[in-house]
Amino acid sequence: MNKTNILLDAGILIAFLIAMEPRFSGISIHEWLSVALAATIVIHLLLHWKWIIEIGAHFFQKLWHASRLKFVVDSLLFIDFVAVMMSGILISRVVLPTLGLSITGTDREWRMLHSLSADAALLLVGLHFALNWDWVVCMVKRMVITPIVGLIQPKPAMQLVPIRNDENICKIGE
Amino acid sequence: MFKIFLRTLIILLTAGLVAGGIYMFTQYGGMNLIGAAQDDGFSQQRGLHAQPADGEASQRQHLKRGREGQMGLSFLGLSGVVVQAGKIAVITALVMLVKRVVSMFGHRRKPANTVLT
Repeated sequence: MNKTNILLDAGILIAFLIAMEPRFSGISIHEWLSVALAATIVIHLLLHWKWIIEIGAHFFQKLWHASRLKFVVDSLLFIDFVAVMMSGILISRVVLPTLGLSITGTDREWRMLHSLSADAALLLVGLHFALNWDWVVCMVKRMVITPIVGLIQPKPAMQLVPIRNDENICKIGE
Repeated sequence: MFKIFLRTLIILLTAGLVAGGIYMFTQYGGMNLIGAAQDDGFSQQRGLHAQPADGEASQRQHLKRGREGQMGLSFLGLSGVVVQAGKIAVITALVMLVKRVVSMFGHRRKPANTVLT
């Protein structure tokens, strides 16, 4: 589960960075990648459904501050992503014509909203990433560093070590 | 399976409600409050060409130019991606710094409490 999460999150981050720079990708990749990103974010939310419900249900009760802050940042990020996607669809030049749809009379306001919400998204993604930094570090250690170190260092012939399960678990949403 | 379908529906409905709220906000002049009407720098800022307002023909021409001219990956824009990643890295570093400072103050307070108890 953790492996799926980290791979999906890494994909979302890379796609987000590319989508944030239309000069790099070109307008059609920018638009289609953003549509794919929206679908992936729904999967991301489904994977974290339990955490969302648990924190949401106890938001106004006694709750550890970091979880509450994460919930606020994540809620703002959701609203902001909706704003980016919605304004992006309304000013779309590739996706809507490809689907045979056209919206006439879209104006400067939607462009401005798209720009502002994209800038806010960068800030909120940074905060979201920073608030989950411990989990990211733990997962990178487990999935990347430990296997590499294991390849370099020779394995001891036989060693009996008591297993502590809590060391091997990267807890998410703490 | 039904549970996943239901959850997806809830997420999409919530997104729809938020989108409705944003639409209302924009339609009732909410963007004017934050100075959207004066903005002309969006296209330059995002590296896009502004949508022409003079009819369908120019729009089609514009679309064609967009597809032909901006279809492939531009390595000049790669620096922009690196800058965006750098911004996220800076935000992460700042938050980690704040977290460390907060935890430092937290650790300083604890011994005082234990002395009192």
